Amino acid sequence: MVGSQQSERELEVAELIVEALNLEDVSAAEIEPEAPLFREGLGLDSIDALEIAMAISQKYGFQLRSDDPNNATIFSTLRQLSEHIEKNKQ
Amino acid sequence: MKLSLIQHQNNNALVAWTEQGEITCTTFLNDVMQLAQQLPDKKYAINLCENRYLFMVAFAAVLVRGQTNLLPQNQLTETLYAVAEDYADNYCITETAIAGLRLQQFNLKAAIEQENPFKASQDTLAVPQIAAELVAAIVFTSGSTGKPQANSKTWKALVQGAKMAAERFGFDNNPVAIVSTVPPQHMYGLETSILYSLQNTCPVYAGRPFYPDDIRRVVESAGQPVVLITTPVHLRACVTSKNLQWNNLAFVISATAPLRKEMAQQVQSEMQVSIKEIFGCTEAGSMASRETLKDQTWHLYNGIEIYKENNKIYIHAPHVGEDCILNDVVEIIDRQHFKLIGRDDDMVNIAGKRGSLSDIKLKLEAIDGVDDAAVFLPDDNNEIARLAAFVVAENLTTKQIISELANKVDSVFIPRPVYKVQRLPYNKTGKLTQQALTELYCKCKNRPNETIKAGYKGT
Repeated sequence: MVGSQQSERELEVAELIVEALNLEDVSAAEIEPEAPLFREGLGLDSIDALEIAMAISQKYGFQLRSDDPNNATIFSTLRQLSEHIEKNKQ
Repeated sequence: MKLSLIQHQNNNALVAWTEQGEITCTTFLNDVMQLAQQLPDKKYAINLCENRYLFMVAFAAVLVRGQTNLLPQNQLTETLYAVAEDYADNYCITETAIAGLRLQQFNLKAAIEQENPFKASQDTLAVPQIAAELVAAIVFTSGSTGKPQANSKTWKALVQGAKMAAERFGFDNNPVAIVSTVPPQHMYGLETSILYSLQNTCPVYAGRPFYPDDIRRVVESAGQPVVLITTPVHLRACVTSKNLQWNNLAFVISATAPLRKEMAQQVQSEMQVSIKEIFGCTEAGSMASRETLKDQTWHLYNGIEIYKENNKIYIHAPHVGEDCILNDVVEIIDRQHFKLIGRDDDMVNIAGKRGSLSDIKLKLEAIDGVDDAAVFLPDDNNEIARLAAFVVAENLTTKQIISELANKVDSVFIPRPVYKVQRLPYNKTGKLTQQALTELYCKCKNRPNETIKAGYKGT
Protein backbone atom coordinates (compact mmCIF):
# COMPACT_ATOMS: atom_id res chain seq x y z
CA MET A 1 0.00 0.00 0.00
CA VAL A 2 1.53 3.31 -0.99
CA GLY A 3 0.61 6.96 -1.01
CA SER A 4 -2.89 8.16 -0.47
CA GLN A 5 -4.70 5.40 -2.35
CA GLN A 6 -7.35 3.76 -0.17
CA SER A 7 -7.31 -0.03 0.05
CA GLU A 8 -10.58 -1.93 0.12
CA ARG A 9 -10.17 -2.54 3.83
CA GLU A 10 -9.52 1.13 4.46
CA LEU A 11 -12.62 2.10 2.51
CA GLU A 12 -14.67 -0.22 4.70
CA VAL A 13 -13.31 1.45 7.86
CA ALA A 14 -13.81 4.90 6.30
CA GLU A 15 -17.45 3.98 5.69
CA LEU A 16 -17.79 2.94 9.31
CA ILE A 17 -16.37 6.31 10.43
CA VAL A 18 -18.65 8.35 8.16
CA GLU A 19 -21.67 6.37 9.27
CA ALA A 20 -20.86 6.33 13.01
CA LEU A 21 -20.21 10.06 13.09
CA ASN A 22 -22.88 11.22 10.64
CA LEU A 23 -20.31 13.14 8.65
CA GLU A 24 -22.64 14.73 6.18
CA ASP A 25 -20.07 16.72 4.27
CA VAL A 26 -17.43 14.01 3.85
CA SER A 27 -17.68 10.84 1.79
CA ALA A 28 -15.83 7.69 2.80
CA ALA A 29 -13.75 7.68 -0.38
CA GLU A 30 -12.53 11.22 0.39
CA ILE A 31 -10.78 10.33 3.65
CA GLU A 32 -7.07 10.19 2.95
CA PRO A 33 -5.42 7.16 4.55
CA GLU A 34 -2.38 9.05 5.81
CA ALA A 35 -4.06 12.33 6.80
CA PRO A 36 -4.71 12.98 10.49
CA LEU A 37 -8.25 12.14 11.56
CA PHE A 38 -8.20 14.38 14.60
CA ARG A 39 -7.77 18.12 14.94
CA GLU A 40 -6.42 19.65 11.74
CA GLY A 41 -7.32 16.72 9.46
CA LEU A 42 -10.93 15.57 9.56
CA GLY A 43 -11.37 17.66 12.69
CA LEU A 44 -12.55 14.83 14.90
CA ASP A 45 -12.36 15.03 18.69
CA SER A 46 -12.45 12.75 21.69
CA ILE A 47 -16.22 12.24 21.59
CA ASP A 48 -15.75 10.95 18.05
CA ALA A 49 -13.04 8.60 19.25
CA LEU A 50 -15.57 7.09 21.68
CA GLU A 51 -18.16 6.78 18.92
CA ILE A 52 -15.65 5.04 16.68
CA ALA A 53 -14.75 2.69 19.54
CA MET A 54 -18.42 1.75 19.98
CA ALA A 55 -18.88 1.13 16.27
CA ILE A 56 -15.74 -1.03 16.16
CA SER A 57 -16.82 -3.13 19.13
CA GLN A 58 -20.14 -3.78 17.44
CA LYS A 59 -18.84 -4.51 13.97
CA TYR A 60 -15.51 -6.20 14.67
CA GLY A 61 -16.14 -7.61 18.15
CA PHE A 62 -13.16 -6.21 20.04
CA GLN A 63 -12.50 -3.30 22.37
CA LEU A 64 -10.16 -0.41 21.68
CA ARG A 65 -7.67 0.27 24.44
CA SER A 66 -5.25 3.11 25.04
CA ASP A 67 -1.61 2.08 25.30
CA ASP A 68 -0.97 5.12 27.37
CA PRO A 69 -3.61 5.78 30.02
CA ASN A 70 -3.41 9.49 29.30
CA ASN A 71 -3.66 9.24 25.57
CA ALA A 72 -7.08 8.74 24.07
CA THR A 73 -6.01 8.67 20.45
CA ILE A 74 -4.29 5.35 19.83
CA PHE A 75 -4.82 5.83 16.12
CA SER A 76 -4.20 9.02 14.24
CA THR A 77 -4.91 8.06 10.64
CA LEU A 78 -7.33 5.88 8.74
CA ARG A 79 -4.42 3.60 7.78
CA GLN A 80 -3.35 3.07 11.40
CA LEU A 81 -6.90 2.37 12.48
CA SER A 82 -7.44 -0.13 9.66
CA GLU A 83 -4.23 -1.96 10.56
CA HIS A 84 -5.24 -2.04 14.21
CA ILE A 85 -8.62 -3.52 13.28
CA GLU A 86 -7.05 -6.12 11.01
CA LYS A 87 -4.80 -7.30 13.86
CA ASN A 88 -7.54 -7.46 16.46
CA LYS A 89 -10.83 -8.32 14.83
CA GLN A 90 -12.61 -11.44 15.93
CA MET B 1 -8.55 30.14 60.13
CA LYS B 2 -6.65 27.33 58.47
CA LEU B 3 -7.86 23.98 57.15
CA SER B 4 -5.80 20.83 56.56
CA LEU B 5 -4.72 19.93 53.03
CA ILE B 6 -5.63 16.27 53.65
CA GLN B 7 -7.77 14.44 56.20
CA HIS B 8 -6.04 11.06 56.24
CA GLN B 9 -5.44 9.66 59.73
CA ASN B 10 -2.42 7.61 58.82
CA ASN B 11 0.71 8.30 56.77
CA ASN B 12 0.39 5.02 54.94
CA ALA B 13 -3.18 5.71 53.84
CA LEU B 14 -3.61 5.77 50.07
CA VAL B 15 -4.03 9.03 48.20
CA ALA B 16 -3.87 7.62 44.67
CA TRP B 17 -2.72 4.65 42.64
CA THR B 18 -1.08 4.12 39.26
CA GLU B 19 -0.06 1.08 37.20
CA GLN B 20 3.28 1.32 38.99
CA GLY B 21 1.79 1.08 42.44
CA GLU B 22 0.14 2.84 45.31
CA ILE B 23 0.83 6.39 46.42
CA THR B 24 0.60 6.97 50.15
CA CYS B 25 0.11 10.22 52.06
CA THR B 26 3.81 10.32 52.85
CA THR B 27 4.81 10.10 49.20
CA PHE B 28 2.18 12.62 48.19
CA LEU B 29 3.21 15.15 50.85
CA ASN B 30 6.86 14.70 49.88
CA ASP B 31 6.03 15.41 46.24
CA VAL B 32 3.94 18.42 47.19
CA MET B 33 6.56 19.97 49.45
CA GLN B 34 9.35 19.29 46.98
CA LEU B 35 7.40 20.96 44.20
CA ALA B 36 6.21 23.86 46.36
CA GLN B 37 9.82 24.85 47.02
CA GLN B 38 10.53 25.13 43.31
CA LEU B 39 7.46 27.00 42.05
CA PRO B 40 8.00 30.53 40.73
CA ASP B 41 7.14 33.36 43.08
CA LYS B 42 3.94 34.48 41.39
CA LYS B 43 0.33 34.86 42.30
CA TYR B 44 -1.43 32.59 39.79
CA ALA B 45 -0.60 29.15 38.40
CA ILE B 46 -2.43 27.97 35.28
CA ASN B 47 -2.61 24.26 36.12
CA LEU B 48 -2.62 22.35 32.83
CA CYS B 49 -1.62 18.89 34.10
CA GLU B 50 -3.64 16.07 32.57
CA ASN B 51 -2.49 13.21 34.72
CA ARG B 52 -4.74 13.37 37.75
CA TYR B 53 -2.04 12.65 40.31
CA LEU B 54 0.32 15.23 38.84
CA PHE B 55 -2.55 17.72 38.72
CA MET B 56 -3.23 17.01 42.39
CA VAL B 57 0.43 17.47 43.38
CA ALA B 58 0.58 20.75 41.45
CA PHE B 59 -2.77 21.90 42.85
CA ALA B 60 -1.65 21.24 46.42
CA ALA B 61 1.82 22.75 45.95
CA VAL B 62 0.21 25.93 44.62
CA LEU B 63 -1.96 26.10 47.78
CA VAL B 64 1.02 25.47 50.04
CA ARG B 65 2.66 28.50 48.44
CA GLY B 66 -0.47 30.59 49.03
CA GLN B 67 -1.05 30.93 45.28
CA THR B 68 -4.20 30.38 43.21
CA ASN B 69 -4.81 27.64 40.62
CA LEU B 70 -6.31 28.93 37.36
CA LEU B 71 -8.29 26.19 35.63
CA PRO B 72 -9.21 26.96 32.01
CA GLN B 73 -11.82 24.84 30.26
CA ASN B 74 -9.49 23.83 27.44
CA GLN B 75 -5.90 24.24 26.35
CA LEU B 76 -6.44 26.33 23.23
CA THR B 77 -3.81 29.05 23.13
CA GLU B 78 -6.55 31.63 22.63
CA THR B 79 -8.22 30.53 25.89
CA LEU B 80 -4.93 30.54 27.80
CA TYR B 81 -4.01 34.01 26.56
CA ALA B 82 -7.43 35.36 27.55
CA VAL B 83 -7.03 33.92 31.05
CA ALA B 84 -3.42 35.13 31.35
CA GLU B 85 -4.40 38.63 30.32
CA ASP B 86 -6.80 39.02 33.23
CA TYR B 87 -4.46 37.46 35.80
CA ALA B 88 -1.17 39.00 34.81
CA ASP B 89 1.12 37.68 37.54
CA ASN B 90 0.96 34.11 36.24
CA TYR B 91 2.82 31.05 35.01
CA CYS B 92 1.66 27.71 33.56
CA ILE B 93 2.32 24.33 35.16
CA THR B 94 2.67 21.80 32.35
CA GLU B 95 3.60 18.12 32.33
CA THR B 96 5.67 18.60 29.21
CA ALA B 97 6.37 21.92 27.53
CA ILE B 98 3.65 23.20 25.18
CA ALA B 99 5.37 24.35 22.00
CA GLY B 100 4.58 27.84 20.80
CA LEU B 101 2.84 28.95 23.99
CA ARG B 102 4.07 32.45 24.80
CA LEU B 103 3.54 32.19 28.56
CA GLN B 104 5.99 31.26 31.28
CA GLN B 105 5.91 27.48 31.63
CA PHE B 106 6.98 25.50 34.65
CA ASN B 107 7.68 21.91 33.68
CA LEU B 108 6.32 19.68 36.42
CA LYS B 109 7.79 16.40 35.25
CA ALA B 110 11.28 17.87 35.01
CA ALA B 111 10.86 19.29 38.52
CA ILE B 112 9.84 16.10 40.26
CA GLU B 113 11.75 13.69 38.06
CA GLN B 114 14.98 14.91 39.62
CA GLU B 115 13.92 12.46 42.26
CA ASN B 116 11.46 9.69 41.64
CA PRO B 117 8.02 11.14 42.42
CA PHE B 118 6.71 7.75 43.47
CA LYS B 119 9.55 6.98 45.83
CA ALA B 120 8.67 5.38 49.12
CA SER B 121 9.98 8.07 51.38
CA GLN B 122 10.09 7.40 55.10
CA ASP B 123 10.10 11.05 56.09
CA THR B 124 6.94 11.89 57.92
CA LEU B 125 5.82 15.38 57.08
CA ALA B 126 3.40 17.62 58.87
CA VAL B 127 0.11 18.06 57.02
CA PRO B 128 0.14 21.54 55.42
CA GLN B 129 -2.47 23.95 56.74
CA ILE B 130 -4.13 26.14 54.09
CA ALA B 131 -5.78 29.49 54.82
CA ALA B 132 -9.56 28.96 54.66
CA GLU B 133 -10.13 32.18 52.73
CA LEU B 134 -7.38 31.57 50.16
CA VAL B 135 -8.79 31.51 46.63
CA ALA B 136 -7.67 27.96 45.90
CA ALA B 137 -8.93 27.85 42.34
CA ILE B 138 -10.53 30.00 39.71
CA VAL B 139 -12.58 27.81 37.38
CA PHE B 140 -13.35 29.22 33.97
CA THR B 141 -16.37 28.55 31.81
CA SER B 142 -17.16 30.07 28.48
CA GLY B 143 -19.39 33.09 28.85
CA SER B 144 -21.86 34.58 26.41
CA THR B 145 -19.58 37.54 25.72
CA GLY B 146 -16.69 35.61 24.21
CA LYS B 147 -14.53 36.04 27.28
CA PRO B 148 -14.02 33.16 29.72
CA GLN B 149 -16.09 33.62 32.88
CA ALA B 150 -14.23 33.31 36.17
CA ASN B 151 -15.58 31.52 39.24
CA SER B 152 -13.47 31.84 42.37
CA LYS B 153 -13.36 28.98 44.86
CA THR B 154 -11.98 29.51 48.33
CA TRP B 155 -10.27 26.60 50.04
CA LYS B 156 -13.02 26.65 52.66
CA ALA B 157 -15.75 26.31 50.00
CA LEU B 158 -14.03 23.36 48.36
CA VAL B 159 -13.51 21.61 51.70
CA GLN B 160 -17.11 22.20 52.74
CA GLY B 161 -18.42 21.00 49.38
CA ALA B 162 -16.47 17.75 49.78
CA LYS B 163 -17.92 17.26 53.28
CA MET B 164 -21.46 17.68 52.02
CA ALA B 165 -20.86 15.13 49.27
CA ALA B 166 -19.32 12.68 51.75
CA GLU B 167 -22.42 12.94 53.88
CA ARG B 168 -24.72 12.45 50.91
CA PHE B 169 -22.88 9.47 49.45
CA GLY B 170 -21.88 7.87 52.74
CA PHE B 171 -18.14 7.85 52.09
CA ASP B 172 -17.34 7.94 55.81
CA ASN B 173 -18.97 4.60 56.50
CA ASN B 174 -18.17 2.82 53.25
CA PRO B 175 -14.64 3.47 52.03
CA VAL B 176 -14.46 3.62 48.25
CA ALA B 177 -11.89 4.44 45.60
CA ILE B 178 -12.49 6.89 42.76
CA VAL B 179 -12.02 6.36 39.03
CA SER B 180 -12.90 9.38 36.94
CA THR B 181 -13.16 10.18 33.25
CA VAL B 182 -13.70 13.89 33.89
CA PRO B 183 -10.82 16.40 33.56
CA PRO B 184 -9.69 17.86 36.92
CA GLN B 185 -9.83 21.38 35.44
CA HIS B 186 -13.62 21.04 35.25
CA MET B 187 -15.51 22.01 38.44
CA TYR B 188 -17.25 18.62 38.59
CA GLY B 189 -13.95 16.81 37.99
CA LEU B 190 -12.11 18.93 40.57
CA GLU B 191 -14.68 18.32 43.29
CA THR B 192 -15.30 14.64 42.70
CA SER B 193 -11.77 13.41 42.12
CA ILE B 194 -9.25 15.82 43.64
CA LEU B 195 -11.28 16.97 46.65
CA TYR B 196 -12.79 13.52 47.33
CA SER B 197 -9.24 12.22 47.54
CA LEU B 198 -7.78 15.05 49.64
CA GLN B 199 -10.72 15.62 51.96
CA ASN B 200 -12.84 12.44 51.87
CA THR B 201 -9.83 10.08 51.85
CA CYS B 202 -11.01 8.22 48.75
CA PRO B 203 -7.93 7.05 46.81
CA VAL B 204 -8.12 8.21 43.22
CA TYR B 205 -6.77 6.59 40.07
CA ALA B 206 -3.93 8.77 38.75
CA GLY B 207 -4.81 8.59 35.07
CA ARG B 208 -7.85 9.38 33.02
CA PRO B 209 -9.07 6.13 31.44
CA PHE B 210 -10.81 6.79 28.18
CA TYR B 211 -12.15 3.78 26.29
CA PRO B 212 -14.75 1.62 28.04
CA ASP B 213 -12.37 -1.30 28.34
CA ASP B 214 -9.67 0.97 29.82
CA ILE B 215 -12.19 2.14 32.41
CA ARG B 216 -13.24 -1.42 33.21
CA ARG B 217 -9.64 -2.56 33.75
CA VAL B 218 -8.79 0.39 35.98
CA VAL B 219 -11.93 -0.20 38.07
CA GLU B 220 -10.85 -3.81 38.60
CA SER B 221 -7.33 -2.76 39.55
CA ALA B 222 -8.53 -0.86 42.63
CA GLY B 223 -8.03 -2.38 46.05
CA GLN B 224 -11.54 -1.49 47.16
CA PRO B 225 -14.95 -0.94 45.54
CA VAL B 226 -14.95 1.92 43.07
CA VAL B 227 -17.21 4.87 42.49
CA LEU B 228 -16.98 5.65 38.79
CA ILE B 229 -17.29 9.39 38.16
CA THR B 230 -18.34 10.05 34.61
CA THR B 231 -20.77 11.63 32.16
CA PRO B 232 -23.72 10.48 30.02
CA VAL B 233 -21.42 10.43 26.98
CA HIS B 234 -19.03 7.93 28.56
CA LEU B 235 -21.83 5.86 30.05
CA ARG B 236 -23.38 5.47 26.65
CA ALA B 237 -20.06 4.19 25.32
CA CYS B 238 -19.74 1.80 28.26
CA VAL B 239 -23.15 0.19 27.82
CA THR B 240 -23.00 0.09 24.03
CA SER B 241 -19.63 -1.66 23.93
CA LYS B 242 -20.30 -5.35 23.83
CA ASN B 243 -19.16 -8.14 26.11
CA LEU B 244 -17.79 -6.06 28.95
CA GLN B 245 -18.05 -7.58 32.41
CA TRP B 246 -18.02 -4.91 35.11
CA ASN B 247 -16.69 -5.94 38.50
CA ASN B 248 -15.74 -4.04 41.63
CA LEU B 249 -18.09 -1.08 41.14
CA ALA B 250 -19.75 0.40 44.23
CA PHE B 251 -21.89 2.79 42.19
CA VAL B 252 -21.69 5.21 39.29
CA ILE B 253 -22.02 8.99 39.49
CA SER B 254 -22.95 10.90 36.36
CA ALA B 255 -23.14 14.65 35.89
CA THR B 256 -22.81 17.53 33.39
CA ALA B 257 -26.13 16.71 31.72
CA PRO B 258 -29.20 14.85 32.93
CA LEU B 259 -29.14 11.14 32.22
CA ARG B 260 -32.16 9.88 30.32
CA LYS B 261 -34.14 7.26 32.21
CA GLU B 262 -33.66 4.70 29.43
CA MET B 263 -29.90 5.20 29.58
CA ALA B 264 -29.94 4.87 33.38
CA GLN B 265 -31.84 1.59 33.00
CA GLN B 266 -29.29 0.32 30.52
CA VAL B 267 -26.43 1.25 32.86
CA GLN B 268 -28.09 -0.65 35.66
CA SER B 269 -28.69 -3.78 33.61
CA GLU B 270 -25.47 -3.84 31.56
CA MET B 271 -23.07 -2.74 34.29
CA GLN B 272 -24.98 -4.30 37.19
CA VAL B 273 -24.62 -1.19 39.28
CA SER B 274 -26.75 1.56 40.76
CA ILE B 275 -26.56 5.00 39.26
CA LYS B 276 -26.60 8.35 41.01
CA GLU B 277 -26.48 11.77 39.45
CA ILE B 278 -25.06 15.05 40.69
CA PHE B 279 -26.52 18.41 39.78
CA GLY B 280 -24.30 21.43 40.01
CA CYS B 281 -23.17 24.58 38.39
CA THR B 282 -19.73 26.13 38.22
CA GLU B 283 -20.81 29.02 40.44
CA ALA B 284 -22.02 26.92 43.39
CA GLY B 285 -20.40 23.57 42.60
CA SER B 286 -22.18 20.26 43.21
CA MET B 287 -25.38 20.97 45.08
CA ALA B 288 -27.86 18.14 44.65
CA SER B 289 -28.13 14.48 43.77
CA ARG B 290 -30.72 11.92 42.76
CA GLU B 291 -30.99 8.21 42.18
CA THR B 292 -32.21 8.39 38.64
CA LEU B 293 -34.19 5.18 38.59
CA LYS B 294 -35.89 5.76 41.93
CA ASP B 295 -36.90 9.35 41.65
CA GLN B 296 -36.58 12.21 39.16
CA THR B 297 -36.50 14.77 41.98
CA TRP B 298 -33.20 16.42 42.87
CA HIS B 299 -32.33 16.42 46.58
CA LEU B 300 -30.14 19.33 47.60
CA TYR B 301 -27.16 18.62 49.85
CA ASN B 302 -27.76 19.40 53.51
CA GLY B 303 -27.27 23.11 54.06
CA ILE B 304 -28.10 24.17 50.50
CA GLU B 305 -31.49 25.64 49.64
CA ILE B 306 -33.37 26.68 46.52
CA TYR B 307 -35.91 29.50 46.34
CA LYS B 308 -37.62 31.83 43.91
CA GLU B 309 -37.59 35.60 44.14
CA ASN B 310 -38.66 38.14 41.51
CA ASN B 311 -39.08 35.35 39.00
CA LYS B 312 -35.53 34.21 39.40
CA ILE B 313 -34.35 30.96 40.91
CA TYR B 314 -31.68 31.33 43.59
CA ILE B 315 -29.37 28.83 45.23
CA HIS B 316 -28.49 29.54 48.83
CA ALA B 317 -25.17 27.84 49.50
CA PRO B 318 -23.59 29.48 52.56
CA HIS B 319 -20.16 27.92 51.92
CA VAL B 320 -19.73 29.66 48.55
CA GLY B 321 -20.81 33.12 49.67
CA GLU B 322 -23.65 35.08 48.12
CA ASP B 323 -26.73 33.29 46.80
CA CYS B 324 -26.36 32.63 43.10
CA ILE B 325 -28.87 32.65 40.28
CA LEU B 326 -29.64 29.32 38.64
CA ASN B 327 -30.11 29.60 34.91
CA ASP B 328 -31.90 26.30 34.43
CA VAL B 329 -35.65 26.09 34.28
CA VAL B 330 -36.81 24.27 37.41
CA GLU B 331 -39.93 23.44 39.36
CA ILE B 332 -39.35 24.03 43.06
CA ILE B 333 -40.98 21.40 45.28
CA ASP B 334 -39.71 22.79 48.58
CA ARG B 335 -36.50 24.44 49.77
CA GLN B 336 -34.59 21.15 49.56
CA HIS B 337 -36.11 19.60 46.45
CA PHE B 338 -36.68 20.52 42.82
CA LYS B 339 -37.28 19.10 39.38
CA LEU B 340 -35.41 20.10 36.27
CA ILE B 341 -37.75 21.22 33.51
CA GLY B 342 -35.45 22.53 30.83
CA ARG B 343 -32.26 24.31 30.19
CA ASP B 344 -31.35 27.90 29.67
CA ASP B 345 -31.76 28.69 25.99
CA ASP B 346 -28.27 30.00 25.53
CA MET B 347 -26.06 27.72 27.58
CA VAL B 348 -25.44 24.23 26.25
CA ASN B 349 -23.59 21.29 27.69
CA ILE B 350 -21.64 19.10 25.35
CA ALA B 351 -19.55 16.29 26.75
CA GLY B 352 -19.37 18.07 30.07
CA LYS B 353 -18.26 21.37 28.66
CA ARG B 354 -20.50 24.35 29.01
CA GLY B 355 -20.70 26.70 26.10
CA SER B 356 -22.79 29.63 25.07
CA LEU B 357 -24.60 29.57 21.75
CA SER B 358 -24.38 33.33 21.44
CA ASP B 359 -20.62 33.20 22.03
CA ILE B 360 -20.17 30.69 19.19
CA LYS B 361 -22.48 32.76 17.00
CA LEU B 362 -20.33 35.85 17.67
CA LYS B 363 -17.21 33.94 16.73
CA LEU B 364 -18.80 32.68 13.51
CA GLU B 365 -19.88 36.18 12.57
CA ALA B 366 -16.39 37.48 13.25
CA ILE B 367 -15.05 35.37 10.36
CA ASP B 368 -14.32 37.43 7.25
CA GLY B 369 -16.98 36.68 4.67
CA VAL B 370 -19.67 35.49 7.10
CA ASP B 371 -22.63 37.89 6.96
CA ASP B 372 -24.98 36.25 9.41
CA ALA B 373 -25.03 33.11 11.50
CA ALA B 374 -27.20 31.11 13.86
CA VAL B 375 -26.13 28.27 16.15
CA PHE B 376 -28.59 25.70 17.28
CA LEU B 377 -28.70 22.49 19.34
CA PRO B 378 -30.98 20.01 17.58
CA ASP B 379 -33.20 18.02 19.91
CA ASP B 380 -32.01 14.60 18.80
CA ASN B 381 -32.64 12.79 22.07
CA ASN B 382 -29.16 11.43 22.19
CA GLU B 383 -26.25 11.63 24.68
CA ILE B 384 -24.02 12.95 21.93
CA ALA B 385 -25.65 16.13 20.91
CA ARG B 386 -23.79 18.22 18.36
CA LEU B 387 -24.42 21.80 17.44
CA ALA B 388 -25.63 22.74 14.01
CA ALA B 389 -24.96 26.14 12.47
CA PHE B 390 -26.56 28.10 9.66
CA VAL B 391 -24.42 30.68 7.95
CA VAL B 392 -24.96 33.27 5.31
CA ALA B 393 -21.61 33.43 3.53
CA GLU B 394 -21.69 33.59 -0.20
CA ASN B 395 -18.01 33.26 -0.93
CA LEU B 396 -16.86 30.79 1.70
CA THR B 397 -17.09 27.00 1.73
CA THR B 398 -18.29 25.29 4.91
CA LYS B 399 -14.83 23.74 5.23
CA GLN B 400 -13.21 27.19 5.27
CA ILE B 401 -15.66 28.34 7.90
CA ILE B 402 -15.03 25.32 10.11
CA SER B 403 -11.26 25.63 9.91
CA GLU B 404 -11.44 29.33 10.84
CA LEU B 405 -13.61 28.49 13.81
CA ALA B 406 -11.41 25.61 14.95
CA ASN B 407 -8.76 28.04 16.22
CA LYS B 408 -11.21 29.87 18.41
CA VAL B 409 -13.67 27.34 19.77
CA ASP B 410 -13.22 24.11 21.72
CA SER B 411 -13.62 21.19 19.31
CA VAL B 412 -16.79 19.86 20.96
CA PHE B 413 -18.54 23.11 20.08
CA ILE B 414 -17.59 23.14 16.41
CA PRO B 415 -20.98 22.90 14.70
CA ARG B 416 -21.41 19.76 12.70
CA PRO B 417 -22.85 20.24 10.20
CA VAL B 418 -22.54 23.85 9.13
CA TYR B 419 -25.27 24.66 6.62
CA LYS B 420 -25.05 27.53 4.17
CA VAL B 421 -28.33 29.38 3.78
CA GLN B 422 -29.28 32.51 1.85
CA ARG B 423 -30.92 34.06 4.84
CA LEU B 424 -31.98 33.15 8.36
CA PRO B 425 -35.62 32.55 9.34
CA TYR B 426 -36.19 35.67 11.45
CA ASN B 427 -39.77 36.22 12.58
CA LYS B 428 -41.62 39.52 12.47
CA THR B 429 -40.02 40.76 15.65
CA GLY B 430 -36.57 39.93 14.33
CA LYS B 431 -36.11 36.84 16.48
CA LEU B 432 -34.92 33.37 15.57
CA THR B 433 -37.22 30.93 17.29
CA GLN B 434 -36.26 27.39 18.20
CA GLN B 435 -39.14 26.18 16.03
CA ALA B 436 -37.98 28.09 12.96
CA LEU B 437 -34.46 26.79 13.42
CA THR B 438 -35.77 23.24 13.84
CA GLU B 439 -37.70 23.51 10.58
CA LEU B 440 -34.70 24.89 8.78
CA TYR B 441 -32.54 22.14 10.24
CA CYS B 442 -34.89 19.41 8.97
CA LYS B 443 -34.96 21.02 5.57
CA CYS B 444 -31.17 21.31 5.36
CA LYS B 445 -30.67 17.79 6.63
CA ASN B 446 -32.58 16.40 3.68
CA ARG B 447 -30.71 18.51 1.17
CA PRO B 448 -27.23 18.90 2.60
CA ASN B 449 -25.39 19.94 -0.54
CA GLU B 450 -27.40 22.93 -1.62
CA THR B 451 -27.62 26.41 -0.31
CA ILE B 452 -31.11 26.63 1.15
CA LYS B 453 -32.80 29.65 -0.33
CA ALA B 454 -35.57 30.79 1.92
CA GLY B 455 -35.37 30.65 5.63
CA TYR B 456 -38.73 29.33 6.59
CA LYS B 457 -41.63 28.76 4.20
CA GLY B 458 -41.27 25.88 1.77
CA THR B 459 -39.18 26.51 -1.32
